[in-house]
Amino acid sequence: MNLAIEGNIDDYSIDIESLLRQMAPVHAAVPRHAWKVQCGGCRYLGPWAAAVLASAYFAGVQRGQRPRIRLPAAPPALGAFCRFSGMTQVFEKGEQPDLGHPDNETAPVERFNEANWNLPDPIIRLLKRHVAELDPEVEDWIRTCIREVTQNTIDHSQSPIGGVMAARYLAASREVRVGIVDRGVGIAESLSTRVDGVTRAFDALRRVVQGGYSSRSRANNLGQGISNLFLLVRLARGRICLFSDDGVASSQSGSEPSIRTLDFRFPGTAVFFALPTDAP
Amino acid sequence: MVPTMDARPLNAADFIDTSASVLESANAIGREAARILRDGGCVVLSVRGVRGVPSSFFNVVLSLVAEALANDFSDGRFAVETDTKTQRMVYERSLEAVSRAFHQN
Repeated sequence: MNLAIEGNIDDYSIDIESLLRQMAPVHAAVPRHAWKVQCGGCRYLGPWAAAVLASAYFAGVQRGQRPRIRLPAAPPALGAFCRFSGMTQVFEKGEQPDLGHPDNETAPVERFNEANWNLPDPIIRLLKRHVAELDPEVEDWIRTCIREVTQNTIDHSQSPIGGVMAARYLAASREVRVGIVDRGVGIAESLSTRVDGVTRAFDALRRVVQGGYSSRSRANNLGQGISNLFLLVRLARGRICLFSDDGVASSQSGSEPSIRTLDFRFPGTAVFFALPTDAP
Repeated sequence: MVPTMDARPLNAADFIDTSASVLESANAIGREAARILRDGGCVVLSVRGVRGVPSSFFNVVLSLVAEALANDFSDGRFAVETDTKTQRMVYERSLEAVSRAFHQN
């Protein structure tokens, strides 16, 4: 299977939805069915797209699909992002760039299989290189958002590749953009084992964004992770979109979350958010 | 209600191994807090200086504390000190969820 990704995939819900829709045939490919994705036509890829592409690649390797992803080489800024994000190294076996370069604004793609305290550290180190004095409240809400997602990934996703995280600091807009993707069972299937009456992604997303259900199986899981995430992003006046199976929940600029059903399925859960780095 | 006399301070930072999982340290802190409470003592858990404390951490700690207090947090023997708005919000939502879960069980 050969797939050509069209358009500029920026870190906005409409763009990432377009990417996920275009990649649906790859995501649905059966084990050992080889595939190739060409991104040469893209003029912009961000960390949200990097997390999607990397998770597809790792899942493809895990499923024996011999995945190939061809990254764009131009324009130069995009080629640099592909290197600093680690995608060139992972997909094309390129060299690891100097991540400490003062112009580097990107935290490389990282796979995780445990929800350790230090998962957000590379992103915070990146921000502290670029933001003169990172406010403790700002650092706290960024770390908390990342930990709410990664803990959910490890606790619930049953993802065979764990989770994949990518991030970038945008100096022009003074925000950090983070993408965290797994290829697990999705929120609806995970929730259906613990809460009666939840079968559809739409209903599952409504429950987890609202929060407040309880699980008798594990003390750490009381249903607030995703709702805390959405609340924190709203309070920080950031933006967020969460895709799972055929549902998407999103919020921007402090708005109430909206939830809708998609015309395609994503096999797993993909969380994307952008937070301001200026003090509140 | 904040514990006053003889409150044993627990600093979350002292229990955290940054290379280990969030839940490991939560369990360690929760067990220590529960032990002190069962012995009749009071506990003030401080998460000051710990950035990014997720709901899972508070859920585990508060669940263990709730068992020791028979889910009665109003007696003032346990309190949490925070230094950011995010910490306070996450803690309060977890406290509400733990109390509700114990009540339902």
